[in-house]
Amino acid sequence: MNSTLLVEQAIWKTYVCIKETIMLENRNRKARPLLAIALAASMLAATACAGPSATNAGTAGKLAEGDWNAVVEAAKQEGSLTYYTNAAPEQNEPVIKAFNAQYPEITVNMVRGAAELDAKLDAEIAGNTDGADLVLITHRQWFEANVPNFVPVKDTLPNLANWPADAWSIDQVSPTASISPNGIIAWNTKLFPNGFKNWNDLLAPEVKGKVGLRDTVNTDVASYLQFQEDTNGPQFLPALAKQEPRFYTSMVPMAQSMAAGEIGVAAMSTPPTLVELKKQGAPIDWIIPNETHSLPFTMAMLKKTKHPNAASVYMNFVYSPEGQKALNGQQYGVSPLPGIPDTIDMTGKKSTLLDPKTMTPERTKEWAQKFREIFGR
Amino acid sequence: MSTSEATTVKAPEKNTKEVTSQRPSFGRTFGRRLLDRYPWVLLAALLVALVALPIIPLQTRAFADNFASFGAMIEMTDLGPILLRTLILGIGSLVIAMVLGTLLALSMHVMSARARRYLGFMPVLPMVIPSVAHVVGFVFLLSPENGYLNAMLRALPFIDGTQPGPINVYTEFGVVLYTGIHLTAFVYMFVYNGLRNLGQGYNLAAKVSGAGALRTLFTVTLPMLRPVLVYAGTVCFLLSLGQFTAPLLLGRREGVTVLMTRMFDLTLEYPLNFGLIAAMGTPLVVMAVALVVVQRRLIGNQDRFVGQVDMADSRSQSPVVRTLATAFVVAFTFFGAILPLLALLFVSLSPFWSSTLSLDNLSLTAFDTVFSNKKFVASIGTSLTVSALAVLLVIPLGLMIALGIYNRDRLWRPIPPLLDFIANIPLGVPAALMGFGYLFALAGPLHLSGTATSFVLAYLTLMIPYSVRYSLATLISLGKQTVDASRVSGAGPLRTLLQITLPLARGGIASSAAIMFVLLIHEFGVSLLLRSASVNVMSVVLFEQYDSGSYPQVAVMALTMTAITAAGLLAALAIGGRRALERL
Repeated sequence: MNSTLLVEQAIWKTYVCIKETIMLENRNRKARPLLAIALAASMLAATACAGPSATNAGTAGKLAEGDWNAVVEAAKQEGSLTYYTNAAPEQNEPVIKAFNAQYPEITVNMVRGAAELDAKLDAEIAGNTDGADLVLITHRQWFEANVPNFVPVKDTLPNLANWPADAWSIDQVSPTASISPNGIIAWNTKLFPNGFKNWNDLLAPEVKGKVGLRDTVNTDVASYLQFQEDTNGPQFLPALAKQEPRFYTSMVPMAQSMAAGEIGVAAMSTPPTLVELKKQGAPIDWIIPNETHSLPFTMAMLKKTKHPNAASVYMNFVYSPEGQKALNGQQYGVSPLPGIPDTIDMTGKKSTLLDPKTMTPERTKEWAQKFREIFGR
Repeated sequence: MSTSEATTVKAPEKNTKEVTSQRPSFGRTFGRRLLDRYPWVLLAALLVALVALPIIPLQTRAFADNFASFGAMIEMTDLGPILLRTLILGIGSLVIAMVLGTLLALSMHVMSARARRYLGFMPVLPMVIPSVAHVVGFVFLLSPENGYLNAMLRALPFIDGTQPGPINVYTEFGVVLYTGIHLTAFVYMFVYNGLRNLGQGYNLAAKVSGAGALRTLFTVTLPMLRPVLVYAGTVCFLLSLGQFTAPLLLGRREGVTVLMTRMFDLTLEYPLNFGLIAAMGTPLVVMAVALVVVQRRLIGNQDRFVGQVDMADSRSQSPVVRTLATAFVVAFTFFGAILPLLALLFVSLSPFWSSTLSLDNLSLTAFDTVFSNKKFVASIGTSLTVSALAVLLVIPLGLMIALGIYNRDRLWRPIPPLLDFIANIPLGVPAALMGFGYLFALAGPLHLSGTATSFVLAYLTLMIPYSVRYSLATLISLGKQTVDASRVSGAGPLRTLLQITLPLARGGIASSAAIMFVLLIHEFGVSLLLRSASVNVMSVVLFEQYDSGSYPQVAVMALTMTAITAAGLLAALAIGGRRALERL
């Protein structure tokens, strides 16, 4: 049955009661139509101010002929681009800001999502609808499955000509833009003043009921779980389950929850969110243990793009030293380019990188099942 | 006898022969009948197409590949526990709703008439707040670590102040508590109506025979209310089984999963397994269609009360009882509606959510952030536009269907019952299930998923039952006299409709339009599944922000949605509308 029915009954009851008691019907008869018009006008005004949702009448999507300057000019004509990402908002905003400092004429629409992005992208690609021009996500499984839908960029974008050979997620098509460690222990300093040093500290008795984990096992999470099993032994995850963890659908709300004190420690997190929370004064701290797990953020341009020039200019920017500094600086991530200031220093740490060749869809499904068995979800 | 009958029979035959020679040919009659019927046949076809779209394609998918999806469903190891939990939550919510609802109805009944006039709408106020906003308000009150109510309770001497709690809104208990309070309003309306219909006769007789108030209550009133309580309980139970919003927002943290949220999780997996989702939804769809008949009777009972004038003096003689009753109603409204709104307000003005209630550091920063967020502002526009469009389109559609049902004796026999039945199906299908259906139907060859058109289509279909009911009520209240007078004066049916019926029904249509608009702003289940990156509505953006953003901003969005609901309600009040509509 439908609860809209309930709401409808409630609203009618409220309407009738208010009408009978507060609005005595025979008064203010003349005022009523005016009031109605005023209300309607204000609603229309609100709609007009809000504006229509971002649908561009896509101009034909063709890359400009000629040299890079022609592409930049065509990009300015296109005027905007859209990219989908599951990177933390804090990490995306500096890049967009730095980009707009150089190219103020091009609007960048960033759409952030999590596990649901894959299905959305599939629907858009299948329907060839306008939407994403670029994607910057960690979902390697989806990437592997969609290689034919990406535009080869190695030869068209100047900054990729000398991109490190080992920093290509998919050759010719998708270079790694950032490496994001998610094997992080982040804690609330009010609840755990002594902090944590390594993974086994999570099994201490005082952590029970206060630790946070992700659920909705996709490839990223499955890879992390595999890393935990490989590094800390097959008993680690069941022991963690005995600590009665709380579950979150994404690392960002988990970090927020930890900062608010709802949980005391998060067993995985993402650097940009933590850096920002700390800047805002949240009582948190974190450590990247010596053995950690990382997700590569790779970017690709979709063949269906209606803004190939703007997308090319943006993608080229992301892989430039300025773009890398904006994306990975402030301790937000690790850059494949050497020598970018203020990025995360991983010297002395052993980081397992998500590898779609070993973490196949079948393995991910196995881990989803195993997760349910171990954690009872 | 037979011979005389034979002769009497023969005579008409002669006449018939003469008459037949003057009747138009079969071809022309058939042609005229077709001309009269075909608009209605088209209307019925359109209605069937609209309602079938979210249901049929998805269900056929469940049966595809030799029932493979049903096989997959049976293999789901967690299905048993989930069904059990759905059932337990349903029963828990039912108990809370029945107890609170009956108490509220009794309180309202024994109150003084003046108090009743002013407090009449209070028990239903919790439901007027958009459900996503309402749940978030409860989270701010009853989160075990940071909830304001919990913080206050911990300050009490007999509660352990070092542990989180004592009330945890994220557990089964929390979901049951919220759903119970949510459904209380419905039980209240039902039982209150029942109480009024009982009249005072039996109560007075009991009093005269020497029974005290309490004894009368337990031996006379409640037993006589039994059918009403059974009806209310059944409807309540079914509604709580289809609950989606509370388990979705409250249940994730500690793994309280019900059938609907499990199906929602399936939409987040990649690749999407529509067959499995369809298989899980099949029993609900079957139940929904079967219940339409029962529903109509229940709604019929329900509506009759809405505009009743209070005749019987049922108030209690004891001022103590009256005061207690008033206090109870006010307390329920305070905890159910006012407190969550206050919590939302407080968090919206704070830099971040913590359990401390200090008045320093309050600012409008969160409001600035939210209203400069293009996505949120765009979603306000989308919500308003899409809802307004859907309402504008559904009003004429509903009116035409209502005309068909109203004039059932003049139309081709099968059409009116068909219209009646099909138009009510969207009432019985849980919203999330409709959403899954649209996700599937629109993603395929129609390529409509993720567009504003899909929202308008879905919202339009959701509102058909309401529009039809309102139009029907208006038509009934107008009576046949004016229409007959118009026809007798020579106006055709169309002219009568345009020049007589519509102008008289103007007010009723306008205020019901405002109410439908508010209902669509509230809508969450279907909208959640239709959302796309570029087209989104307020309730879903609120949910997404709750899942992944800062709490003060979530609070601002919740307050904005509530404000728009209030504005819609004010619009309905301002437009006025005839009292006719209130006697639905």
